[in-house]
Amino acid sequence: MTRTRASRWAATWWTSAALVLGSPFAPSRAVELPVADQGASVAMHFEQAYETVWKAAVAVAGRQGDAIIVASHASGVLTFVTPGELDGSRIYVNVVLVPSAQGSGSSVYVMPRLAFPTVRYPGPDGDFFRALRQELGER
Amino acid sequence: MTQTRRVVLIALAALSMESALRSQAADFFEDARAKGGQSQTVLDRYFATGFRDFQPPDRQGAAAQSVSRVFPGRTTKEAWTAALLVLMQDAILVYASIDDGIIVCANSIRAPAGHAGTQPSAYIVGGVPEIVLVDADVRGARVSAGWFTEWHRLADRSEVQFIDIKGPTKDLLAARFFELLDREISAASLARRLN
Repeated sequence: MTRTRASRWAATWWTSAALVLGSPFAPSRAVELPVADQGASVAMHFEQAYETVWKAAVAVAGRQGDAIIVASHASGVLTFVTPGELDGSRIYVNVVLVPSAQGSGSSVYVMPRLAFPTVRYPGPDGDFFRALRQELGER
Repeated sequence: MTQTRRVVLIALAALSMESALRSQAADFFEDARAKGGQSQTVLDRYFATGFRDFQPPDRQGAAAQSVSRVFPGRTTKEAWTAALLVLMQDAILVYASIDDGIIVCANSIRAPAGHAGTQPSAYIVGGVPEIVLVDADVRGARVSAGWFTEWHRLADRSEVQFIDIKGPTKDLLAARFFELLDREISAASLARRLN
């Protein structure tokens, strides 16, 4: 499976899973990652305020990662490192928070990457969102 | 062919597809191993320490070394968000300051020896820039893209330079990044209008 096909498959899987698992009344919902190049949809919209979502995201990163590289509240960037499956391998998880331009809420974008090769790692984004939703008090 | 030229080829290959990049990198891997490139580069050391020692670059100096494009009618906030979303898909975000309009990311990583079936001391070069500057312009938002020469030099300050992206290669890679950025800004703008 090529990288593009794998990304599209992961995007479809994630979007479908999010739609199935998430109640229509739940505050969070899957959103498309606009850049079409990678075909990845690893983003969710939360109705909670930016500040609330940021604190929850940092808490999740602190639990899931063994080091935080960037945590810039004003910039909306959170990057943490977690051990990979192979010995010595590391997964770098990019998290970007974007406050909604209209209305309330924030969008959270997650992109885990292996340091080598520098490719998308398809696993922990789902884990991160699950933990984030729990942290925010969603089921 | 010098190492630098080989890496330029690798960087260009990133424009098309990853498999091509890996294929073209194979020769370089062999060269790097043969030349005993086991010493750490500055970037290797940053990764080893979780970027704890990383100091943000001087903005003026970085701007002078970068390629810029103005996105007319766009705000710096739009450009900032779009840049983050593009970069996060191709690199690891290691520094961000919206106040200074600086984003730094790592996208060219040296492989540990024998990791994941690869040759040791090999570089994979991504196509996105390592430093992005976002600021206001009278016409809209200006975004500048650059690469760190210093990161790819051996940390013992010897003159060995593994990667140096410059000239037409820099313009080509920056153009590709700006194209992605333009697409991202337009898509986000359209999504806002539709919502």
